[in-house]
Amino acid sequence: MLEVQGAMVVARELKRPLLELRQLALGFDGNGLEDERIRAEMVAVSERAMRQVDDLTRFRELENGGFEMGPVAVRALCDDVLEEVQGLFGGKKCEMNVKYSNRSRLVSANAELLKSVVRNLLLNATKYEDKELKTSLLVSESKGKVEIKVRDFGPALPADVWREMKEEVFEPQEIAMRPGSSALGFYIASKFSKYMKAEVGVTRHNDGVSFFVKLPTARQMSIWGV
Amino acid sequence: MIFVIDSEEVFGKCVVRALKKNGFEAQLFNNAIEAMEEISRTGAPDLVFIDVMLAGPDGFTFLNEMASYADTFETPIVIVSERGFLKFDLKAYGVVGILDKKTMKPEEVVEYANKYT
Repeated sequence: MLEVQGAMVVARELKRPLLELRQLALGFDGNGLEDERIRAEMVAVSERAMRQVDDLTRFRELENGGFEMGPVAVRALCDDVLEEVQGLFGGKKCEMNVKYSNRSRLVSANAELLKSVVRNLLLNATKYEDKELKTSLLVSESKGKVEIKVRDFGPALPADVWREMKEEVFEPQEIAMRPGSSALGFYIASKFSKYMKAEVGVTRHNDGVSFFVKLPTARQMSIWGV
Repeated sequence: MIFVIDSEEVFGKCVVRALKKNGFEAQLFNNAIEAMEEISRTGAPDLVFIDVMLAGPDGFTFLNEMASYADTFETPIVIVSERGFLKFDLKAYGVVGILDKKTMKPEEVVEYANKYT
C-alpha cells in the first residue's frame, strides 16, 4: 500500500511537470488536423494524470477527517462526472452505456470524494473500450443501498487475484496484473470509498470486470424518514 | 508592457509566449525582487501576471509593495496559481483576476491582456 507521505511526495513531484506539459501543449502551434489532434490528446492526457495527482494530494486530508459527509444527489453527480470524463478525452467521442434505476436519489457520501471514485473507475474502464464494447455506468438500488457499478471489457482477472479482491479492498499490485492498468485509479477509488464507509467490490465476467461501490441512502433528507 | 512573475520558468514562458503571439509586449521575471527593480527603473507595467509561490519574497509581498506606492497601486494584477484563492477578496491589492494553473488556457491570459492594456 502506498504510504500517505510517499503519495504526497509523488503527487507534489508530478504536479509541476504535468501543469507545464499541459501549458506547453496548449501553446503548441501545429499545422493541420493531425497536429491539432495530437495537441488535444496531449492536453487530455496531462489533464487526466493531473486529476489523479490531485486525488493523491487529498490523502492527507483523509487522515485528518477533512471531508464532511452529507446527502449527495447521485444521478446528478454521475452526470457531472460523465461530462467531465468526456472533456478529459479532448473532444474524442467517448460513448458509454448509462442506466439509472435507483429510486432513492440521495446517498450519504462526500460529493468531492464520490466524484473522484466514479471518475477513476470510468477512466480506467474506458481504456478497454472499442467500437463494439462500450463501458457501462449502472446505478441501481437494493436493500437500502445505492450501487454505482462500472463495467469494463478489459482482460479477465486471474482467479486467485479475483478471490483475494473479493475479500478486501483492492491493492494496486493486485489489479496491476491487468494489462493496461496501473491500478492507481482503483487504489484511489477504494481509499476514498473506505473513508465514506462505502462497500467496494468487483464482479468478474468472461469479457471484463465490473467494479462497484455501494453507498447507504441518505435518510435525513427524506420526507418520510424511512 | 506586461510583467509575468513566476519562479516556474516553463510556465512563465508559456504565459509570455501566449501574450507575445497576440501582439503584446511581455517580460518574464523569476522573482518579485527583479520585477520590483525593473519597476523602479522603468515605471509601472500595464498589467502583471504573478504566481503567489515565488522564490524569495512571495506574491503577497509583491502585492503589498505595489499597493504601497502611488505610481503602482492602480496596476492591475492577475494571480496565476495552482492554489485556490477564489475565496479571498484581493481587490484592495489591485487583483483583477485569478487564474488556476490547473485549468487555465492561453486564451484567458490574452483576454485579461485585452481588457487591461
